Amino acid sequence: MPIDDERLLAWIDGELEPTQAAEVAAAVAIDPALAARATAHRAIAAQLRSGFDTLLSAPIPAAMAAAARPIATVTDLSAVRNARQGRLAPPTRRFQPAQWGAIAATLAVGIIAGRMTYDIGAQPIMVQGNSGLQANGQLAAALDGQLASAPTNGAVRIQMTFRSREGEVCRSWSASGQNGVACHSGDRWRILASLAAPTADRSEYRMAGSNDLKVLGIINGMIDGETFDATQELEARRNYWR
Amino acid sequence: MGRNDAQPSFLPSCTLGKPLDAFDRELTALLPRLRRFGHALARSAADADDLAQGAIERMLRARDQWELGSRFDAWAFRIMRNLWIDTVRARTRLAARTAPEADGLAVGEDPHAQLEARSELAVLMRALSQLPDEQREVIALVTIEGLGYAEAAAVLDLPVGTVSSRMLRGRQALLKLLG
Repeated sequence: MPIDDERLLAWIDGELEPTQAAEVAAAVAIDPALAARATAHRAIAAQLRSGFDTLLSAPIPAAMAAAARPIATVTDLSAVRNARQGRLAPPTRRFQPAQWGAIAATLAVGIIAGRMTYDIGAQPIMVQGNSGLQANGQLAAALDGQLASAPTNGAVRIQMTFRSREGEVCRSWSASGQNGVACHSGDRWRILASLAAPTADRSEYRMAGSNDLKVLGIINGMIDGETFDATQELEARRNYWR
Repeated sequence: MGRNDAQPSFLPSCTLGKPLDAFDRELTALLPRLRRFGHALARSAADADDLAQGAIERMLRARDQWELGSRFDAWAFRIMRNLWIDTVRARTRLAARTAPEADGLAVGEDPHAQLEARSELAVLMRALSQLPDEQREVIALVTIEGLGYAEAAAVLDLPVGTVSSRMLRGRQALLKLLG
Protein backbone atom coordinates (compact mmCIF):
# COMPACT_ATOMS: atom_id res chain seq x y z
CA MET A 1 0.00 0.00 0.00
CA PRO A 2 1.56 3.32 -1.04
CA ILE A 3 2.35 5.71 1.79
CA ASP A 4 0.86 9.16 1.26
CA ASP A 5 2.42 12.22 2.86
CA GLU A 6 -0.33 12.54 5.46
CA ARG A 7 0.48 9.08 6.80
CA LEU A 8 4.18 9.74 6.57
CA LEU A 9 3.77 12.88 8.66
CA ALA A 10 1.54 11.09 11.17
CA TRP A 11 4.27 8.46 11.46
CA ILE A 12 6.94 11.10 12.04
CA ASP A 13 4.73 12.73 14.65
CA GLY A 14 4.28 9.41 16.47
CA GLU A 15 0.56 9.33 15.75
CA LEU A 16 0.27 5.85 14.23
CA GLU A 17 -0.59 2.61 15.96
CA PRO A 18 2.39 0.24 16.23
CA THR A 19 1.31 -1.98 13.32
CA GLN A 20 0.68 0.99 11.01
CA ALA A 21 3.91 2.59 12.16
CA ALA A 22 5.83 -0.56 11.34
CA GLU A 23 4.26 -0.55 7.86
CA VAL A 24 5.43 3.00 7.21
CA ALA A 25 8.86 2.29 8.71
CA ALA A 26 9.25 -0.66 6.36
CA ALA A 27 8.21 1.41 3.36
CA VAL A 28 10.64 4.20 4.32
CA ALA A 29 13.44 1.68 4.69
CA ILE A 30 13.14 0.50 1.09
CA ASP A 31 12.10 3.71 -0.66
CA PRO A 32 14.82 6.38 -0.83
CA ALA A 33 12.39 9.04 -2.08
CA LEU A 34 10.08 8.43 0.87
CA ALA A 35 13.04 8.41 3.25
CA ALA A 36 14.19 11.75 1.83
CA ARG A 37 10.73 13.27 2.38
CA ALA A 38 10.70 11.94 5.95
CA THR A 39 14.12 13.44 6.60
CA ALA A 40 13.06 16.80 5.16
CA HIS A 41 9.91 16.92 7.32
CA ARG A 42 11.87 15.91 10.41
CA ALA A 43 14.43 18.61 9.76
CA ILE A 44 11.72 21.30 9.54
CA ALA A 45 10.11 20.06 12.76
CA ALA A 46 13.46 20.04 14.56
CA GLN A 47 14.23 23.53 13.25
CA LEU A 48 10.89 24.83 14.53
CA ARG A 49 11.32 23.24 17.93
CA SER A 50 14.87 24.39 18.49
CA GLY A 51 14.08 27.92 17.30
CA PHE A 52 11.01 28.32 19.49
CA ASP A 53 12.61 26.55 22.45
CA THR A 54 14.92 29.52 22.86
CA LEU A 55 11.90 31.31 24.32
CA LEU A 56 11.71 28.83 27.19
CA SER A 57 15.01 30.04 28.60
CA ALA A 58 14.37 33.73 27.90
CA PRO A 59 13.38 35.91 30.85
CA ILE A 60 9.64 36.44 31.32
CA PRO A 61 8.79 40.08 30.52
CA ALA A 62 7.94 42.00 33.69
CA ALA A 63 4.50 42.96 32.39
CA MET A 64 3.60 39.33 31.81
CA ALA A 65 4.84 38.22 35.19
CA ALA A 66 2.86 41.06 36.71
CA ALA A 67 -0.27 39.96 34.86
CA ALA A 68 0.04 36.52 36.43
CA ARG A 69 0.48 37.95 39.94
CA PRO A 70 0.32 37.51 42.84
CA ILE A 71 2.06 34.14 42.71
CA ALA A 72 4.08 34.42 39.54
CA THR A 73 6.94 36.81 39.94
CA VAL A 74 10.19 37.07 38.05
CA THR A 75 12.05 36.16 41.22
CA ASP A 76 10.43 32.71 41.37
CA LEU A 77 13.30 31.06 39.59
CA SER A 78 12.56 27.49 40.58
CA ALA A 79 9.08 27.66 39.09
CA VAL A 80 10.41 29.10 35.87
CA ARG A 81 13.17 26.52 35.80
CA ASN A 82 10.72 23.69 36.38
CA ALA A 83 8.48 25.01 33.66
CA ARG A 84 11.40 25.21 31.30
CA GLN A 85 12.26 21.61 32.01
CA GLY A 86 8.60 20.63 31.66
CA ARG A 87 8.62 19.09 35.12
CA LEU A 88 5.48 18.79 37.14
CA ALA A 89 6.42 17.56 40.59
CA PRO A 90 9.53 17.28 42.71
CA PRO A 91 11.28 14.01 41.92
CA THR A 92 11.81 11.31 44.48
CA ARG A 93 14.76 9.00 43.93
CA ARG A 94 18.10 10.51 44.81
CA PHE A 95 21.52 9.87 43.35
CA GLN A 96 24.51 10.53 45.54
CA PRO A 97 26.72 12.39 43.10
CA ALA A 98 29.98 11.95 45.02
CA GLN A 99 29.45 8.24 45.37
CA TRP A 100 28.58 7.65 41.73
CA GLY A 101 31.35 9.95 40.64
CA ALA A 102 33.85 7.82 42.53
CA ILE A 103 32.47 4.62 41.06
CA ALA A 104 32.52 6.04 37.57
CA ALA A 105 36.09 7.22 38.03
CA THR A 106 37.27 3.73 38.93
CA LEU A 107 35.75 2.22 35.82
CA ALA A 108 37.07 2.38 32.35
CA VAL A 109 34.01 3.43 30.44
CA GLY A 110 34.07 1.59 27.17
CA ILE A 111 31.50 3.20 25.01
CA ILE A 112 30.89 1.21 21.92
CA ALA A 113 29.67 3.50 19.22
CA GLY A 114 29.91 3.65 15.47
CA ARG A 115 28.36 0.98 13.37
CA MET A 116 27.63 -1.70 15.93
CA THR A 117 24.21 -3.23 15.72
CA TYR A 118 22.77 -6.09 17.71
CA ASP A 119 19.83 -7.84 16.18
CA ILE A 120 16.76 -8.84 18.10
CA GLY A 121 13.92 -10.19 16.03
CA ALA A 122 13.76 -9.13 12.42
CA GLN A 123 15.35 -5.70 12.69
CA PRO A 124 18.61 -4.38 14.14
CA ILE A 125 18.01 -2.51 17.39
CA MET A 126 20.29 0.30 16.25
CA VAL A 127 20.90 1.91 12.92
CA GLN A 128 23.26 4.57 11.73
CA GLY A 129 21.19 7.72 11.15
CA ASN A 130 22.06 11.18 9.89
CA SER A 131 23.23 12.35 13.28
CA GLY A 132 24.75 9.18 14.71
CA LEU A 133 23.49 5.92 16.06
CA GLN A 134 19.72 5.68 16.55
CA ALA A 135 17.49 3.18 18.28
CA ASN A 136 15.56 0.98 15.89
CA GLY A 137 13.21 -1.98 15.92
CA GLN A 138 12.42 -3.44 19.33
CA LEU A 139 14.72 -1.06 21.16
CA ALA A 140 12.98 1.98 19.63
CA ALA A 141 9.59 0.44 20.41
CA ALA A 142 10.57 -0.22 24.04
CA LEU A 143 11.99 3.28 24.46
CA ASP A 144 8.79 4.73 23.01
CA GLY A 145 6.32 2.64 24.92
CA GLN A 146 7.73 0.84 27.93
CA LEU A 147 7.60 2.24 31.42
CA ALA A 148 10.49 1.61 33.79
CA SER A 149 7.90 1.65 36.55
CA ALA A 150 6.05 -1.26 34.92
CA PRO A 151 8.73 -3.66 33.67
CA THR A 152 7.84 -6.33 31.13
CA ASN A 153 9.51 -9.55 30.12
CA GLY A 154 10.37 -8.48 26.59
CA ALA A 155 13.77 -8.66 24.98
CA VAL A 156 14.42 -5.03 25.89
CA ARG A 157 14.03 -3.61 29.37
CA ILE A 158 13.85 0.05 30.22
CA GLN A 159 15.46 0.83 33.52
CA MET A 160 15.46 4.53 34.28
CA THR A 161 13.99 7.64 32.80
CA PHE A 162 15.42 11.07 33.50
CA ARG A 163 16.06 14.46 31.98
CA SER A 164 19.53 15.40 30.83
CA ARG A 165 21.12 18.78 31.50
CA GLU A 166 20.53 19.50 27.82
CA GLY A 167 16.82 19.16 28.47
CA GLU A 168 16.20 15.91 26.63
CA VAL A 169 14.34 12.97 28.09
CA CYS A 170 16.77 10.06 28.34
CA ARG A 171 16.30 6.42 29.25
CA SER A 172 18.62 3.61 30.20
CA TRP A 173 17.95 0.17 28.79
CA SER A 174 19.28 -3.34 28.67
CA ALA A 175 18.87 -5.79 25.84
CA SER A 176 20.61 -8.75 24.36
CA GLY A 177 23.75 -8.63 26.49
CA GLN A 178 24.18 -4.88 26.40
CA ASN A 179 23.21 -1.84 28.39
CA GLY A 180 22.94 1.70 27.22
CA VAL A 181 21.50 5.16 27.39
CA ALA A 182 19.38 6.81 24.71
CA CYS A 183 18.03 10.35 24.57
CA HIS A 184 14.97 11.54 22.70
CA SER A 185 16.09 13.99 20.10
CA GLY A 186 13.84 15.25 17.34
CA ASP A 187 11.57 12.26 16.85
CA ARG A 188 14.29 9.66 17.33
CA TRP A 189 16.16 8.03 20.18
CA ARG A 190 19.82 8.91 19.88
CA ILE A 191 22.11 6.26 21.35
CA LEU A 192 24.50 7.98 23.74
CA ALA A 193 26.14 4.87 25.09
CA SER A 194 25.91 1.19 24.43
CA LEU A 195 27.98 -1.12 26.59
CA ALA A 196 28.41 -4.85 26.33
CA ALA A 197 27.26 -6.33 29.63
CA PRO A 198 29.66 -8.72 31.41
CA THR A 199 29.18 -12.22 30.00
CA ALA A 200 28.25 -13.69 33.37
CA ASP A 201 25.31 -11.35 33.64
CA ARG A 202 23.91 -12.09 30.26
CA SER A 203 21.54 -14.79 31.39
CA GLU A 204 19.82 -12.79 34.07
CA TYR A 205 18.22 -9.42 34.10
CA ARG A 206 18.97 -7.26 37.03
CA MET A 207 16.45 -5.34 39.02
CA ALA A 208 15.52 -1.92 37.70
CA GLY A 209 17.71 0.64 39.40
CA SER A 210 20.72 -1.64 39.84
CA ASN A 211 21.84 -1.33 36.24
CA ASP A 212 25.42 -1.69 35.17
CA LEU A 213 27.61 0.65 37.19
CA LYS A 214 29.18 2.10 34.09
CA VAL A 215 25.78 3.09 32.80
CA LEU A 216 25.00 4.63 36.18
CA GLY A 217 28.24 6.55 35.96
CA ILE A 218 27.25 7.86 32.55
CA ILE A 219 23.79 8.79 33.78
CA ASN A 220 25.29 10.54 36.76
CA GLY A 221 27.39 12.63 34.43
CA MET A 222 24.43 13.86 32.42
CA ILE A 223 21.37 13.81 34.67
CA ASP A 224 19.61 17.02 35.65
CA GLY A 225 17.99 16.48 39.04
CA GLU A 226 16.72 12.99 39.80
CA THR A 227 15.33 10.04 37.88
CA PHE A 228 11.64 10.25 37.08
CA ASP A 229 9.15 8.60 39.38
CA ALA A 230 6.22 6.64 37.95
CA THR A 231 3.99 9.71 37.62
CA GLN A 232 6.65 11.80 35.90
CA GLU A 233 7.48 8.94 33.59
CA LEU A 234 3.85 8.53 32.59
CA GLU A 235 3.55 12.25 31.99
CA ALA A 236 6.73 12.22 29.91
CA ARG A 237 5.33 9.43 27.75
CA ARG A 238 2.12 11.38 27.27
CA ASN A 239 4.23 14.28 26.02
CA TYR A 240 6.00 11.98 23.58
CA TRP A 241 9.21 12.17 25.59
CA ARG A 242 9.71 15.86 24.89
CA MET B 1 -16.67 24.99 29.30
CA GLY B 2 -19.76 26.02 31.27
CA ARG B 3 -19.70 28.24 34.28
CA ASN B 4 -20.32 26.70 37.64
CA ASP B 5 -23.75 28.23 38.16
CA ALA B 6 -24.34 26.41 41.42
CA GLN B 7 -21.51 28.35 43.03
CA PRO B 8 -22.89 31.27 45.05
CA SER B 9 -21.19 34.41 43.86
CA PHE B 10 -20.23 35.62 47.35
CA LEU B 11 -17.98 32.62 48.02
CA PRO B 12 -14.32 33.19 47.23
CA SER B 13 -12.73 30.68 44.89
CA CYS B 14 -10.71 29.08 47.71
CA THR B 15 -13.89 27.49 49.10
CA LEU B 16 -14.38 25.42 45.97
CA GLY B 17 -12.36 22.60 47.43
CA LYS B 18 -9.31 23.18 45.25
CA PRO B 19 -5.95 23.55 46.90
CA LEU B 20 -5.59 27.29 47.14
CA ASP B 21 -2.60 27.69 44.85
CA ALA B 22 -2.86 24.82 42.35
CA PHE B 23 -4.04 27.21 39.64
CA ASP B 24 -1.31 29.74 40.35
CA ARG B 25 1.36 27.06 40.37
CA GLU B 26 0.19 25.74 37.01
CA LEU B 27 0.00 29.21 35.55
CA THR B 28 3.47 30.18 36.79
CA ALA B 29 4.96 26.98 35.45
CA LEU B 30 3.29 27.50 32.07
CA LEU B 31 4.44 31.11 31.48
CA PRO B 32 7.44 30.22 29.30
CA ARG B 33 5.30 27.93 27.17
CA LEU B 34 2.55 30.55 26.88
CA ARG B 35 5.17 32.89 25.47
CA ARG B 36 6.34 30.23 23.05
CA PHE B 37 2.81 29.46 21.91
CA GLY B 38 2.15 33.19 21.51
CA HIS B 39 5.21 33.59 19.31
CA ALA B 40 4.07 30.68 17.14
CA LEU B 41 0.67 32.31 16.57
CA ALA B 42 1.40 36.03 16.41
CA ARG B 43 3.21 37.89 13.66
CA SER B 44 5.63 39.79 15.87
CA ALA B 45 7.36 39.36 19.21
CA ALA B 46 5.51 42.37 20.61
CA ASP B 47 2.14 40.99 19.48
CA ALA B 48 3.08 37.60 20.92
CA ASP B 49 3.73 38.98 24.39
CA ASP B 50 0.57 41.11 24.25
CA LEU B 51 -1.36 38.00 23.30
CA ALA B 52 0.12 35.93 26.13
CA GLN B 53 -0.55 38.70 28.62
CA GLY B 54 -4.13 39.13 27.45
CA ALA B 55 -4.63 35.38 27.66
CA ILE B 56 -3.28 35.32 31.23
CA GLU B 57 -5.81 37.98 32.19
CA ARG B 58 -8.61 35.92 30.63
CA MET B 59 -7.38 32.81 32.44
CA LEU B 60 -7.41 34.58 35.78
CA ARG B 61 -10.98 35.72 35.17
CA ALA B 62 -11.97 32.17 34.16
CA ARG B 63 -9.90 30.37 36.81
CA ASP B 64 -12.92 28.64 38.33
CA GLN B 65 -13.61 26.95 34.99
CA TRP B 66 -10.39 25.00 35.10
CA GLU B 67 -10.99 21.62 36.70
CA LEU B 68 -8.31 20.49 39.09
CA GLY B 69 -6.56 17.45 37.68
CA SER B 70 -7.38 18.24 34.07
CA ARG B 71 -4.65 19.36 31.70
CA PHE B 72 -3.84 22.97 32.42
CA ASP B 73 -1.82 23.53 29.24
CA ALA B 74 -4.64 22.43 26.93
CA TRP B 75 -7.09 24.64 28.83
CA ALA B 76 -4.74 27.62 28.68
CA PHE B 77 -3.91 27.13 24.99
CA ARG B 78 -7.59 27.04 24.17
CA ILE B 79 -8.17 30.38 25.89
CA MET B 80 -5.13 31.88 24.24
CA ARG B 81 -6.02 30.62 20.78
CA ASN B 82 -9.57 31.97 21.08
CA LEU B 83 -8.21 35.36 22.12
CA TRP B 84 -5.86 35.26 19.14
CA ILE B 85 -8.74 34.53 16.76
CA ASP B 86 -10.70 37.45 18.24
CA THR B 87 -7.67 39.72 17.81
CA VAL B 88 -6.98 38.57 14.26
CA ARG B 89 -10.59 39.23 13.25
CA ALA B 90 -10.59 42.66 14.86
CA ARG B 91 -7.31 43.50 13.09
CA THR B 92 -8.64 42.34 9.75
CA ARG B 93 -11.62 44.66 10.14
CA LEU B 94 -9.32 47.50 11.16
CA ALA B 95 -6.83 46.83 8.36
CA ALA B 96 -9.62 47.08 5.81
CA ARG B 97 -10.01 50.70 6.81
CA THR B 98 -6.40 51.76 7.46
CA ALA B 99 -2.98 51.52 5.84
CA PRO B 100 -1.23 48.13 5.76
CA GLU B 101 1.02 47.33 8.72
CA ALA B 102 4.76 47.68 8.42
CA ASP B 103 6.46 44.44 7.52
CA GLY B 104 8.78 42.56 9.84
CA LEU B 105 9.06 42.23 13.57
CA ALA B 106 8.34 45.00 16.00
CA VAL B 107 11.59 46.12 17.56
CA GLY B 108 10.61 48.48 20.31
CA GLU B 109 12.63 49.64 23.25
CA ASP B 110 12.76 46.11 24.66
CA PRO B 111 16.35 44.90 24.05
CA HIS B 112 15.12 41.31 24.15
CA ALA B 113 12.83 41.94 21.19
CA GLN B 114 15.73 43.43 19.29
CA LEU B 115 17.77 40.33 19.96
CA GLU B 116 14.97 38.11 18.74
CA ALA B 117 14.57 40.12 15.58
CA ARG B 118 17.96 38.99 14.38
CA SER B 119 17.62 35.40 15.42
CA GLU B 120 16.60 32.14 13.88
CA LEU B 121 13.34 32.60 15.75
CA ALA B 122 12.51 35.65 13.66
CA VAL B 123 13.08 33.67 10.48
CA LEU B 124 10.77 30.93 11.72
CA MET B 125 8.10 33.41 12.82
CA ARG B 126 8.15 35.06 9.41
CA ALA B 127 7.76 31.69 7.70
CA LEU B 128 4.90 30.70 10.01
CA SER B 129 3.16 34.03 9.50
CA GLN B 130 2.87 33.25 5.80
CA LEU B 131 0.69 30.24 6.51
CA PRO B 132 -3.08 30.49 6.79
CA ASP B 133 -4.19 30.85 10.44
CA GLU B 134 -5.84 27.42 10.40
CA GLN B 135 -2.55 25.73 9.51
CA ARG B 136 -0.46 27.90 11.81
CA GLU B 137 -2.47 27.05 14.92
CA VAL B 138 -2.19 23.32 14.25
CA ILE B 139 1.57 23.51 13.80
CA ALA B 140 1.90 25.69 16.90
CA LEU B 141 0.04 23.13 19.03
CA VAL B 142 1.49 19.92 17.61
CA THR B 143 4.96 20.61 16.29
CA ILE B 144 5.98 23.39 18.65
CA GLU B 145 3.99 22.66 21.81
CA GLY B 146 4.10 18.88 21.46
CA LEU B 147 0.40 18.08 21.76
CA GLY B 148 -0.88 14.96 20.05
CA TYR B 149 -3.24 15.33 17.07
CA ALA B 150 -6.21 14.31 19.25
CA GLU B 151 -5.24 16.80 21.96
CA ALA B 152 -4.85 19.59 19.41
CA ALA B 153 -8.20 18.61 17.89
CA ALA B 154 -9.82 18.98 21.33
CA VAL B 155 -8.27 22.42 21.86
CA LEU B 156 -9.46 23.58 18.43
CA ASP B 157 -12.85 21.81 18.41
CA LEU B 158 -11.96 20.02 15.19
CA PRO B 159 -12.07 16.40 14.02
CA VAL B 160 -8.67 14.68 14.23
CA GLY B 161 -8.71 14.11 10.47
CA THR B 162 -8.94 17.87 9.90
CA VAL B 163 -5.96 18.46 12.19
CA SER B 164 -4.05 15.81 10.28
CA SER B 165 -4.74 17.30 6.85
CA ARG B 166 -3.99 20.87 8.02
CA MET B 167 -0.73 19.59 9.51
CA LEU B 168 0.22 18.19 6.13
CA ARG B 169 -0.59 21.36 4.18
CA GLY B 170 1.19 23.52 6.74
CA ARG B 171 4.29 21.38 6.93
CA GLN B 172 4.49 21.14 3.14
CA ALA B 173 4.29 24.92 2.92
CA LEU B 174 7.06 25.23 5.52
CA LEU B 175 9.21 22.82 3.53
CA LYS B 176 8.98 25.24 0.60
CA LEU B 177 9.63 28.28 2.80
CA LEU B 178 12.41 26.88 4.99
CA GLY B 179 13.67 23.71 3.33
